Amino acid sequence: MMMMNRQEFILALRSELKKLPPEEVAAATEFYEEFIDEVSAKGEKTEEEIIAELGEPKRVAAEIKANYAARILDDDDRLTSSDSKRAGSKASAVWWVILGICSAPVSIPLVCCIAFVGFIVFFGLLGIMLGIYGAIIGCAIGAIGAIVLGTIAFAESAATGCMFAGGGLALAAIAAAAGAGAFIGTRALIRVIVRLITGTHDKIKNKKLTAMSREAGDDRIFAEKPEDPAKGFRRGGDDNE
Amino acid sequence: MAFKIESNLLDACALAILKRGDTYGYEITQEMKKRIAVSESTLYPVLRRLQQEQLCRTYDRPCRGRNRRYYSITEKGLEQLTEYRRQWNDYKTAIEVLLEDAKADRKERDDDDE
Repeated sequence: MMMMNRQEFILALRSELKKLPPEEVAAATEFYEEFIDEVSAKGEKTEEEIIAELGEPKRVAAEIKANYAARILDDDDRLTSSDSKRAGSKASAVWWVILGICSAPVSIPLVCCIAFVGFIVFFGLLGIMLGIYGAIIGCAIGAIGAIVLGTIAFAESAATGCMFAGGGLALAAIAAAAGAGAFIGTRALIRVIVRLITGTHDKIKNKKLTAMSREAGDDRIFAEKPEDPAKGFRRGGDDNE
Repeated sequence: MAFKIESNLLDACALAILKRGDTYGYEITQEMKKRIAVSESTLYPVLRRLQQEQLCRTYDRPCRGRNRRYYSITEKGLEQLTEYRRQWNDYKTAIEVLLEDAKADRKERDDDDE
């Protein structure tokens, strides 16, 4: 292992933590600076020895990051989601968890599974939308037919004509209402899809970070992360007691 | 050691150390290391978590030309420690019964049945 002095260790730690909020980075680096100073002051070990005992900055940082992710997930369990700032922090927490999943080679098949399920859901929804639109168009054609038929029949029998025309109008009303509903639904769906795609874009942007932690061999630490959200839930449960 | 120390248990231990009096990061790790095998990189997140959950608070005091950050347990921290102690006792008893007294327990049960 490379020998590092206090400054090198702190700089390396800071750069590993750069994705965290500045106050988290400051708190962590201050703690380790103080720790190194305290042990040095005892005079039993050299600075290099103390730092070697602390371990790789990457590993130290991985524990801080895993805990940060667990903590914000924990906080969000207790708070209502109406707070938009909180929603943002939750999104980033979810990202940290995704990062954790992606860093563990074992869970790559899991990522594939999730992507596969995503595709199925997408095409399923597409099928349902097409079905609904088909039904609406069918309704509208039926309505026009009935109205036309009613107008023609009116000449022979007023009652029959009225029945057909009335039925046609009712059908037209149903088609119009369903059409409006489907339009709103489609717009909402498109919005969700756009958001998902934007999310994926962000993910690609952050891919560098994933690659970095994978190189660092953080897998072991990140792989433990799924435990942490569970811890949050458990603690949330205790609050209810 | 064969058993992994769970993070809530570490929280509880750190709170117990703080209950004896305000102290600083290095001392807390030393106290902890006297009894169990933990590393500094495990303890920092513990202290940070306690702080964020307002179970402890910090203040700085100058020492040998720089600042030393002291940790102090809060009211909420004391309450949490009491709760942790209660839960730990239940847990400990349950495990002990399973590990040590499994045989005696069964004998007792058989006696009751007769």
